[in-house]
Amino acid sequence: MTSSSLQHPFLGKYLRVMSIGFQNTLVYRWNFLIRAFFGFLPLTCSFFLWNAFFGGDPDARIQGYAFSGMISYFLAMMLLDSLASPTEDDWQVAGEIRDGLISQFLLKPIDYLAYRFSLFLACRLVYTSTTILPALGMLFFLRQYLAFPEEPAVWLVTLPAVLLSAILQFLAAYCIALLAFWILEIGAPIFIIYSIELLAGGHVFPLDLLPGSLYRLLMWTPFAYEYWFPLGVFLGKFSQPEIWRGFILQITWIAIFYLLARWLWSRGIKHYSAVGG
Amino acid sequence: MTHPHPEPQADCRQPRLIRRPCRYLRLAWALFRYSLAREMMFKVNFLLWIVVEIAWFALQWALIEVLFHHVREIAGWNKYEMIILIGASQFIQQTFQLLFMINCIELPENVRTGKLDFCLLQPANSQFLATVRKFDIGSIANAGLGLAFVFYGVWKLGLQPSLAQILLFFFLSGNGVLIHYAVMLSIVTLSFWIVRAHGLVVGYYQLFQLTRIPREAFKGIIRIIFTFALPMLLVACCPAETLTRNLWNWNLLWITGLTLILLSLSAAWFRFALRFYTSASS
Repeated sequence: MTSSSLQHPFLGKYLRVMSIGFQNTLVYRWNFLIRAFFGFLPLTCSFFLWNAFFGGDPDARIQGYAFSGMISYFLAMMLLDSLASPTEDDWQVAGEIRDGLISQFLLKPIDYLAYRFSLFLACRLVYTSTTILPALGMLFFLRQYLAFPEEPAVWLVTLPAVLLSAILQFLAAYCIALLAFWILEIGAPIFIIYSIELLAGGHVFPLDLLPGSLYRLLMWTPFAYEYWFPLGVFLGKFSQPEIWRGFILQITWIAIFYLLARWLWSRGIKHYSAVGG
Repeated sequence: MTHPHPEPQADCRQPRLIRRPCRYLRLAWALFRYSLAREMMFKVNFLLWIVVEIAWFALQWALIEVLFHHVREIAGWNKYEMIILIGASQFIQQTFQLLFMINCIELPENVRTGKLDFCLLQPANSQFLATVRKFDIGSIANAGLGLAFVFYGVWKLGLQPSLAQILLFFFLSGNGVLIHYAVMLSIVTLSFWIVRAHGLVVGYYQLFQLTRIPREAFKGIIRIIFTFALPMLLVACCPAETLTRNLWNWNLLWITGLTLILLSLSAAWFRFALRFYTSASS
């Protein structure tokens, strides 16, 4: 990060926050590396479970998926997770509200949502860069199962879908964390909503394995646009009109969560008692 | 202050081999009651955490339902055998959670902040106090849910397990709990060297996923590692197979032996790591 960009009148302070975010994350790099290392275990489980699902036959097709298509799905999920999924942001926001640490942001000319978003971006960049080598190793190791798209156009459409997914996932986590204004311990609600996100978002299995009516219903919820939509775009699961419709719904949900975040913040601040000072 | 009910004299006359476990059982019981009293202070939170575990279990169940919507068998296991497997896995994991989990999760933080001092200064075994202090009472409900799924699978398959099979199921489940304990303790013990080791706890959760998949699904080096070195593939598969396939062979002997070896190794590892404890706060 150059010093001239840090001196920018508006962006400067948020770039500075990002820089601090980088440094904070790198202080505990062992923790980070361990998380990245163990992060490959779910993929290993998926690999063997789905291999058994297809009866060990690489040519078998179930609901339009071959084994390679399924493995590509979970590999792409691993990349999406590292690029776009918040890890501890919700816990940190809730902790700062509960411990009265947000008081300082009420006194400074800094927007808390933008502050948290800068930290989120920094954390994602560090996480992605530390996991990129093992991830590339994994991709190389499993290259015979990869069915990633070859057309550049698909990659180009995937990019905004991933970026919007990151914003949507961040805003959803942020809104849940703001419940800490009213509820002292929000660990349990976070986990309950997270489990719904994983299931209804296509993290456990591709959503098109579900019966048609249930699938169509889930495509109206925000969850489908957190994981399933960007992955589906990438792996060619949607027609062109479906992609456009998907983008419209993804942006609509982002707008709804943004407004909700602003509304929860303004209500929460009135309820806030600045514990501890 | 004099105690109105002095300790029964019979205790003192018991041999040391019995007296020591009795003392630790009494200690565990006192800690259990303390945990119960604590949990009941925040009843809504207590109930919400039970719902969290149910929600996570529902993820597994939904996956099974979706998979078996398309196929009849996975690695030689049919749908209801898989339901018995995830039920057994849940029962074992929740029992582990009831007894040891919170303490293992808190160990890295206690090492980092120096709170482990309190465990080391008490007149009892340090490993016992560090890992059997707080009980997660809500896990009793979720262990029950796991057992209900086991019964449901057994009922749907029309199985009629003998008393010996049922006893073996519980014995192997207990074995599974101890394997979880040994593996988790070994992982979190790394926190004596690694500061802020929350990633270690997440790592354990990732390892735990292996117990819900039939071991026949795994191949090659991964199967060997997770059967012999970190026997996660045996934790729930063996109790489940006891009911579905009447598992009675030499496997039992070495699973028990392996558990004892893992327990001894993890205890030795913990004692070794304690030498590096620097008590951060003081």
